Amino acid sequence: MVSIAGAGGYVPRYRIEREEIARQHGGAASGETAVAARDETPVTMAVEAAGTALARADLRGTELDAVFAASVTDPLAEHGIAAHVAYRHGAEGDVRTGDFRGSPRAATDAFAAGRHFVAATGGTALVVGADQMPVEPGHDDEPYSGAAAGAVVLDDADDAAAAVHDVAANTTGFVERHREHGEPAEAGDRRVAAEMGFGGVVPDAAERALAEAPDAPDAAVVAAPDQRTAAGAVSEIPGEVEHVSTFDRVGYAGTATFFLDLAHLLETAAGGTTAIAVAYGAGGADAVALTVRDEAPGRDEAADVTTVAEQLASAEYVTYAEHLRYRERPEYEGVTAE
Amino acid sequence: MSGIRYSRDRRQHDRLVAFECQDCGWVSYPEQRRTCKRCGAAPAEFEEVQLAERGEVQTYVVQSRLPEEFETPQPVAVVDLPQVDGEGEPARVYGLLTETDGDDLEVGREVVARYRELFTAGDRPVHSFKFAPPRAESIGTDGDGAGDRGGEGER
Ligand SMILES: [Zn+2]
Repeated sequence: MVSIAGAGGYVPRYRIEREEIARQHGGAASGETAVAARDETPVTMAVEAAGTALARADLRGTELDAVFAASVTDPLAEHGIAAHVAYRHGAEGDVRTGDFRGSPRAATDAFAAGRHFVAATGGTALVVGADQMPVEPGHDDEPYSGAAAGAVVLDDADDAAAAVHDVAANTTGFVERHREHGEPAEAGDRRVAAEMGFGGVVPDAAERALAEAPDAPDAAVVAAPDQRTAAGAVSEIPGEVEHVSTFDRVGYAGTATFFLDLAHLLETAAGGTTAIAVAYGAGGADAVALTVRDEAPGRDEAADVTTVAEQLASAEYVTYAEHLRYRERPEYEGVTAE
Repeated sequence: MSGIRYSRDRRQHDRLVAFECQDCGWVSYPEQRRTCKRCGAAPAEFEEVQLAERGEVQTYVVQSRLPEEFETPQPVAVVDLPQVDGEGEPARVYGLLTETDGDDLEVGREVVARYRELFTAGDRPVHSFKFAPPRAESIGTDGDGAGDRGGEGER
């Protein structure tokens, strides 16, 4: 059976208090949102999360056979994240890579590709999601547009952190929310999206994923741009299901939210916990059913590995102006080619 | 500092690979030289060594005037990075600090290498290592110190 050998999250240190944003444009908002520093990109955040996942799996990058990356905010159309993360961690040569994008559901597209790869080859795959959501001053999403990364290492060992029972797909082709490169999203009609998109698609995917699980789920991760809808989806999963989410401290971080919240769940859930992890995006949703095998390893001081909870607690608050400025791509005019 | 040079030196900038003089033990980073800067051996025989991602500040300066695209004040430091196998001499590495307050620096301070965008060559990001205090040191220095479980944000 395919297992999660290790997981890791990355939350930028800079944070903006949502109140600070609400003060600019009127209205109210609580919680905080992660802001990537000016020198952070989806690549650098993916590298951080991948390093933590590898350390938890007690693996070196040279032992990887595949690296799959998901992102919906990579500023470059051709460049890629997967091969870059692979090389940085020592994986090169006979290493399968794949970059997934186009929908936040790319998180589970990449996860499913990793699982298929491991099942087919017996190899080891790293799967990572990294995003830095764009903002526009005054846009509805501004207080919640976060940045983060998360990663899992998948293999077929029996002593891993969690067993993956199934990844169920529910493709509908339904698109309401959409977004142009570098722009905030057009939410469309949220009610229609909730009814026809999210509401209809998640419970089916979850039910199918759980068909092979030994128990009903105790915990759930649901990555969706609208946190109210995400919470609604959790409530539709039968039984007492705890919603594990970093939304109040990170905001929505595209494909990263799935992996970050999953890492947070694996770091905090008791051994034996069965969980469902869902990613929703344009075109449908996927659900991953898993059971935590043992207490997930915590911080490894020497390797500078920190838990998601520790990173949430390590924050430096930025001003409204900084929150906007940090998201602009710097023009390095003072540094020129030789 | 062109993109071409960074592509050629990817092992140094993506993996902290350095070069150790087999005559005197001096470790060169990031330059891959023909001549040893310390003992003068020419051509020197250099062997690749892997640097650790954690080292010690030897000296530093906080720059306050830089082109607009840099955050100022910008601390810059010389950091000794030991070799990962614990053998030989450390490399003396010149680097930018990121997310670091100048007041938090002192000679002997432990810092970790952070993989970041260094600059762009055209639209292309060029990544390499900067330095920062270990993230674990700042836990609970700000924020409320608690991870959230079961949070359901309002929107
Ligand atoms: Zn020498």
